[in-house]
Amino acid sequence: MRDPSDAEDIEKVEEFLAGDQRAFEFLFDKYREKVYRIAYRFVRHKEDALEVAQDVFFRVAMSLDKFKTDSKFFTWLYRVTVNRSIDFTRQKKSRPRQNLDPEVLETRSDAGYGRTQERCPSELAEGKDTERLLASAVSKLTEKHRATFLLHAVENLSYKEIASVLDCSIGTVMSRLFYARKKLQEILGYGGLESPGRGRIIGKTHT
Amino acid sequence: MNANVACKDIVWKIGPFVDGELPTDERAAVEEHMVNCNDCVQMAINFRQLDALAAKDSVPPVTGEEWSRLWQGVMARPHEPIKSEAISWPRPSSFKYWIVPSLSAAAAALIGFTIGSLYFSGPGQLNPSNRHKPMTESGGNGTAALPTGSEPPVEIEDEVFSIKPSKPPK
Ligand SMILES: [Zn+2]
Repeated sequence: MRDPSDAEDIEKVEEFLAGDQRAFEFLFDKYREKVYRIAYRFVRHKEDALEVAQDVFFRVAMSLDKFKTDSKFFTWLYRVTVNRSIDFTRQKKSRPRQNLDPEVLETRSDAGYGRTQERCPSELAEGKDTERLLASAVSKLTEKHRATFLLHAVENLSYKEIASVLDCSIGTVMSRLFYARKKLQEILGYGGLESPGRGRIIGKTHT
Repeated sequence: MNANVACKDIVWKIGPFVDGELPTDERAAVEEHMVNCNDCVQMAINFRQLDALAAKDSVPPVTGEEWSRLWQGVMARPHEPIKSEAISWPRPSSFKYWIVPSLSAAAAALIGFTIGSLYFSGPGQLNPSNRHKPMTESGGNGTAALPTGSEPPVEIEDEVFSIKPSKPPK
């Protein structure tokens, strides 16, 4: 059964295709924050993220007639966003910005922070620079792993939704997520296997 | 450590387990293993905490004025045709993850494909059937714009896990 939010999206897509520009404005208002947020996590710079977001909405408006209304609008929108963000990041690498995000500059000098200082994420969580460290670690993941991890951990998408956004199988999502997390642990330098603490983990349950 | 199920059979299920993406029948085995395995419990804790940390990452706020400028920008841009939105992942920079023995076969396939595609469909980018390929909800293979003949060899790190989790509760 279709989610009410998805049904609403499809309705707006159809209205827009019938010539009502306000319908697209509705979709823009609904998703602009999410698109910007995903873009920001790739490009780590506000103006760049806004530029990506603008490009995303333009492209979506231009190609909405190709969107299949039996799929979810937001997964398609997220795919365009991930694509544009990755493209932007690649282009930026070849022409680095002068006024880099201070966060990025700082984390680049973090070379000494590695496996020698083993910490667990809860210890990291206590530090004020946690966000910066994690963002830096995420930026070191491969594009595939980064996209998968961000869509999962930040956007809270299900494996099925991530598979749909990234156009891969659920098994591939699992694999990428596993290696992304392992890599993050490695970069952040905590010795998960040596921790003395242990507790019972109860994950979300299935119904 | 559980004598019946070694950690290596469990570790990759830990992520789906903490994410609520592991089918009920598989959960029991993971839970049972964790009762006696500190390492896997710790990994589960770490995975969950990594997610929590990532979720806290803040994003600079955008003002209403900035949003309306962005919207104006979208509307003001002249119309232009848009290419397909299949994701083109980069090739890994290192050869270590690549299946080296398949290189010659891949090269042969690539040459074969190039010739074949020139013969059958003309220049790929200009072929209208290669553009605007919409995604499908299943996200299954076959919707990518890249023809299979030009796909890079499989990376070892991108192996596909075989369990098929059920949909998590909404
Ligand atoms: Zn274990």
